Amino acid sequence: MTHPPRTHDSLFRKPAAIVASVVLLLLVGTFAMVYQFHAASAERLRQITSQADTLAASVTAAVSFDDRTAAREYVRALMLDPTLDAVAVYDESGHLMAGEQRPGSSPIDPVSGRAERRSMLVEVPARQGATVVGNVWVRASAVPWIMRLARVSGVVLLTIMAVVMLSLLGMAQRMLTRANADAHRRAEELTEANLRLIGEMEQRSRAEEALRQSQKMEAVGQLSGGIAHDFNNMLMIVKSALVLTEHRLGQSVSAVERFAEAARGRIAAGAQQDVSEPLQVLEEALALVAEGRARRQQIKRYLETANDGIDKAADLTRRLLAFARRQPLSAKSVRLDDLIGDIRSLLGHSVGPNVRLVYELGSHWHVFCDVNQMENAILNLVINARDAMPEGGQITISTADVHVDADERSGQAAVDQVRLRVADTGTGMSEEVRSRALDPFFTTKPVGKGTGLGLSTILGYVLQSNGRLSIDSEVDKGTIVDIVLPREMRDVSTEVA
Amino acid sequence: MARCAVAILLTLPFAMLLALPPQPDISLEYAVKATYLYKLAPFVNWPPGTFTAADAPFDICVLGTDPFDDFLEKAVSGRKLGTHPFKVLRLDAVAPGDDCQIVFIHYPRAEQVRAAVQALDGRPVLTVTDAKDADSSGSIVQFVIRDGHVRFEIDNAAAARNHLAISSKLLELALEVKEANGS
Repeated sequence: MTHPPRTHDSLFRKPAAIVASVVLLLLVGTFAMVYQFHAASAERLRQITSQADTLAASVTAAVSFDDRTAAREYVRALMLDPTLDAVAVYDESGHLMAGEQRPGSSPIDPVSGRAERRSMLVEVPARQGATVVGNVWVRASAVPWIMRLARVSGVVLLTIMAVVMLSLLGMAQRMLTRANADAHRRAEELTEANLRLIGEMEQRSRAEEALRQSQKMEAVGQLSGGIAHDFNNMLMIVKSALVLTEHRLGQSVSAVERFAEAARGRIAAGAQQDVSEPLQVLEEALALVAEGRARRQQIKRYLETANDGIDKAADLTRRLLAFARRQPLSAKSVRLDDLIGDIRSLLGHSVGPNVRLVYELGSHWHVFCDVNQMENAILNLVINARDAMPEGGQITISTADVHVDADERSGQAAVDQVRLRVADTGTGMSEEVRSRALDPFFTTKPVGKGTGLGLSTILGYVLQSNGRLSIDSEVDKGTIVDIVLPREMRDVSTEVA
Repeated sequence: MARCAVAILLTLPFAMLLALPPQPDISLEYAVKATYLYKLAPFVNWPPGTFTAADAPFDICVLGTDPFDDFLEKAVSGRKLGTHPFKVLRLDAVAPGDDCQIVFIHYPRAEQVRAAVQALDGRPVLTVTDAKDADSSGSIVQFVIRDGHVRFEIDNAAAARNHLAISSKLLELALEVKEANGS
């Protein structure tokens, strides 16, 4: 899963800010703690200094006049304060006048005391007016550890609470960000899935359309194939009847002719013998024969017309059969370039003077197909192209050898193909027309001009030859019809019936 | 004599401080008293006009027979009350032009002492005497020996007469304080 980098940034940046805040807070807390500690110490120092000052002020006379009892009383009075550890009064020459200390504490020694300079030991001069008469030393008892802690506990507690709250905030934010990223990812997945679904639906609908189309084709093919077959048989019956009729007609005519010949001979002979009466009859008979000959000619013309009609009907059924793939093909290996070369003159006649035919023949490979059908197909395509260009234009017939590489995704192996293309510069087709162009009986031509079987017959034939047919068209731009046939790899000379 | 011995013992630090060679007992007592004389100065509120100039000397005068030998000079040597250096003067008699702030009166006879004190009455002078000389010499400070210590009594009324205010701290230390109402 890849998250957008922005999410990474926000995930990274915000905790850093929170960590920075926590560190800052801890620093400030520590500073406040130290400050408070020092302030408390300074306050305590001030306090004992003032206590020492008081003692110094009151003890001056006792010091001056060496009254140790009085000095001791003053010291004892000060020592009533339980926070003091030791008190000492020295005269101006450094002799101890009075000194008291708590049990276990060492007495105050001015020499080591000055050197030691403990924070909680103060020395103040005892002054009477401007005259220094001695010194007073006061030492505060060490503040218990728990008391010092209690003093800074407020700050510590506040700092800890703030840190905890910040941490919680950071965690909450982190979780929220993660949840957001999750939701974002899920939304993207959903969108993707939705797009896939839509794509699949479209594909399915296309496949269904194609299936329906092919089923329709199949039905039409079977129907038309069945009809064509029977219809062809019936046509054959009619045709043979016609042939027999013509034959019989010929036979009877030749008998009459023979009789007429004989009659003419006899008439010539009889004229010498003067049998005018019967001859008269014969003359009349001959006239009848002549009249019969004329009629026969007339009947023959009718028969020819009927034959033509039957031939056309038979051709139609043949196409139907070809479309329905019921007609056996007589395929053989052939080069399309050669095939097209053979019918060039035919094609030239078909298109008329307004249309220019251009050949771009570049195929060398052989294909396996029914030559007649192929010729038919090309002719049909060219005629279609011509019909699409009532104002004239250009038809390009091209061939090419195409190698399609193996496609691993669709499992398609590499294949060699030959492509035949008939392109025109005509009116083209709309998408609707193009989609129906291969349907049997679909035609854009006026009634009686087209059967609607041309392209569908070609399609049937191409599919039968393992090929493909595609139409590319745009209104007013022209139409391109591609027929792609697989390359014939067998021996070129081999012909298959 | 035994009292003196105790006094010697207890005042030994002072004697050593002054770096004195072994002296007779009487000398040690006066060595202590000599230091007390100048030490009294800060505990007295001297009236304005006491000193004519900022560096005018603070005069400590000895009236009568001098019992101090050179203790007094040694004790005050280099010492000042504020800006005023201590100065020792020896007088034979009280004269109107004297500018003494502290006068130690030491005569063999009590009448002489009382007379000298009376002569100084009303002037801004702290009169100091040895109590043994007279019970009612009328001086402001009287040295007494108590339990081997040199102590003093204070006549606050006399001080008031001399326009001097004695520090309550000093009064507190005194063995006895005579107030103005005669108590």
